[in-house]
Amino acid sequence: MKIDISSYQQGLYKSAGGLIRVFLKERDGKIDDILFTGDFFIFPEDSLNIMAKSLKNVALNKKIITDTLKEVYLKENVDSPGTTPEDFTNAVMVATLR
Amino acid sequence: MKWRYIDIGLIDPYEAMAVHEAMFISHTEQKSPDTLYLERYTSKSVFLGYHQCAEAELNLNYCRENDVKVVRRSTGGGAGYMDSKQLNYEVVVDRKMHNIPSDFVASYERIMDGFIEALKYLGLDAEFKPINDLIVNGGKISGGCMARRNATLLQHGSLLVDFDMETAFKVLNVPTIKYESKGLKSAKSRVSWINKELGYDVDPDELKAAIRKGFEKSFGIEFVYSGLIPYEEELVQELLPKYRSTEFIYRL
Repeated sequence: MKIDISSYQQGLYKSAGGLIRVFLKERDGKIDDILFTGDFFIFPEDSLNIMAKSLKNVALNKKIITDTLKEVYLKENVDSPGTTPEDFTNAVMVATLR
Repeated sequence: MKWRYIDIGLIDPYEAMAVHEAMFISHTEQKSPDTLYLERYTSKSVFLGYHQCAEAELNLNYCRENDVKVVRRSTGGGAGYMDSKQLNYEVVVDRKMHNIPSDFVASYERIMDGFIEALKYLGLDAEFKPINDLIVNGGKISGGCMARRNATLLQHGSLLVDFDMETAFKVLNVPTIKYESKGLKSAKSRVSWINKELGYDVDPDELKAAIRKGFEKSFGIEFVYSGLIPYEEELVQELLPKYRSTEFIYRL
């Protein structure tokens, strides 16, 4: 999905597995749209889309976001060496600061 | 045990990505043997990881103005700048047959051992650095990226032979956070290349011979010189439009 990144808030977070660059649109304290990018490894390769979809309309709350991502990890058998669901949450929270 | 050895010489970077995926697909369908493949690129190119945002990671204006081809891999990891002097590789092997660990980092380490053995023949002491780097004297000279399907493992990457760091850092938009977290003064100090470490320009044929010997030793195998099979050639033609399409290259 190609987005106009200038209209998104951007968050950078360095995990042990690589650099996460998240693009976020928030509305009323919730995630309106989100895109995870970066130089980490994640398998299966389409996990990021599933993670992003799962966060649509989720409150911008650290615990809720992490729990939602953990669920995807379990369900989809996601493996991201050196990068945890918490790391992705941290990147999202950095984006909210911009 | 025998592996196929392919040295395709100079290749267009988009075609190269199609070749890499073709060998992978064909191997998953048990049509291709275990393979070590080497190539160099016909032009200055930058390779984006599958999950990277082109606009954020690259200076696209510089790439356009300086004929640097923007290519996207189908594997994760970070962007790398390459020109015709660097040597690129792909290893496609049966993970179970060679007892390669299922843990990702451990499997990178296993494949990298072939290069560690290879560089010993040149007198260089390389070591694996998690997640996926090969370093000499603290500088990264190679990184590997992986894909897996069933028992098939693909690892591809580059060996920096004579690196044009100035151009690389104009092409890549390296965020400060990337190297500050490693406690290093600059991203440049993290990079090294074979000729720099050797102190002379390595003979390309000598380097390739060292790589073959290194893998033969590390994996207890013998190489059979060969080329792509017709099925792989067909797949290359099918896959090429994807790698050349702006939809794929600029998907993020």
